[in-house]
Amino acid sequence: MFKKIILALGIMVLILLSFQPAFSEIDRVEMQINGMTCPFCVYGIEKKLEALEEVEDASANLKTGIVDIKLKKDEPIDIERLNEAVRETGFTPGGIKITATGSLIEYNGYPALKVAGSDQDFLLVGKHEHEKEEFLSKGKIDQIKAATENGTKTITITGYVHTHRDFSLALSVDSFKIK
Amino acid sequence: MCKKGFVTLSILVLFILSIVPISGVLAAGINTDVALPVRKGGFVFRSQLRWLRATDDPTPADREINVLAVPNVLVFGVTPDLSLFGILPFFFRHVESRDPNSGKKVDKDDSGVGDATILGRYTVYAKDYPSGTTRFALLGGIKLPTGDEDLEPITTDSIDFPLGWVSTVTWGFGRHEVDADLVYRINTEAEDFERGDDLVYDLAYEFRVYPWTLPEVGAPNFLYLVAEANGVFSQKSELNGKTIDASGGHILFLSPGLQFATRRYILETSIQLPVIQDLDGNQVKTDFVLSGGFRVNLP
Repeated sequence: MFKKIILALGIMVLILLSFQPAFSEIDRVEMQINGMTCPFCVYGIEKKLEALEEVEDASANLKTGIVDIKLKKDEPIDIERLNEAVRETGFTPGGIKITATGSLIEYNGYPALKVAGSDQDFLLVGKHEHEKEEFLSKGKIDQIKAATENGTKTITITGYVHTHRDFSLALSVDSFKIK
Repeated sequence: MCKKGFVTLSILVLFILSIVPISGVLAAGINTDVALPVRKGGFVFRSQLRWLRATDDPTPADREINVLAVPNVLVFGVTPDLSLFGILPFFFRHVESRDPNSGKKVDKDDSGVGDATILGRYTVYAKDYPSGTTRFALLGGIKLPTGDEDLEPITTDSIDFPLGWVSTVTWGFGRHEVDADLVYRINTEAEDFERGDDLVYDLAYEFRVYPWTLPEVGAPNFLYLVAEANGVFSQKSELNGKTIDASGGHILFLSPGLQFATRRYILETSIQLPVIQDLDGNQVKTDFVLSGGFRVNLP
């Protein structure tokens, strides 16, 4: 009898877990701000970024010149809004690096990341400013495909976000890990 | 313009100009203007208490002058490149001099609101990089005759026009900062008095001593050591078309200071010590200008 109760509770927990809402999984946003070198300047930058409705918290690191941005749940990233907010402070936005979790999909034969819990997709590319080859090398695509078992496993990718001519946003892959 | 005692008090003109900053609002030199931006829609308020003491009088009048000035500056970021400054100072002046007939010391106190100034600063060049920034800006504005007449010639009835250039260079992730400005003030005639034009020049170097090494995360409070050179060239003033002999000249201060910067506030103190006082006529020489103040990011 006791075993049956435990089993029933276990099944209920599993069912409840399966109905958990899927939140957007952009785990981390790191934005380089050029020219930000004093705490008095930091105030305006954090204030402007936190005024954006999708931003929950912005916290600057003066050693790196990077602001850590925490997005609200379910909010997609809009790099142009982030860049404009920084430009309004009089400083210069640099690159935006994100860590996002989702599944691997294909877009016109090219790999893309579908972020879990949101409609946001990122075309996966090589390091756009440094590599001659625009898209990920075939070897790396095969590596990611194999690791995610053709997209059936969740993947977490870290890289720089930028706009792309064929896709709204692209992510130049720095590193990835399979969950 | 009250004419009585004017020539005597005209000695204050040169010094007073050096103690009311035209702008100088962000984390930079305490007495030097700065080209760092104010965020669009944001405000910065700055207030200081400055004490000027001048006692070295070459004349038998043996004058001693103490001036307390409270310059208040409100800055508004119109665009990322354009900031507007509203400046309203308050003054208290105490002058002691020897009566030529009795030989006794007599004193006179005056206090009130100084002349208001409205300035615009436009950034014409900005090059930002992860560890610093290089910026140049132009300044221009108008000084209005809004001050109390009792404070003449600190206040004047004229409308004057400051025009200038400001630059800021920072490097080493906030370890070093250099600011410089050059401001020419075109002073006009009003009520038969024309203050001579001025050329203000300032150079400031700030060195972050705390924290010596930046932590891996966060934006800690900074403590800077500040070294400045603050100078003013002033032309002779004129009254009723005649040049006032005891007016005009050149004064240069060396100004060590301390500045403590947080996200919201800056606290600062500085002492300006004159190293060159090439003053025309029998003017009282300045002993020092001591200042303390704060700046706050709003809202």
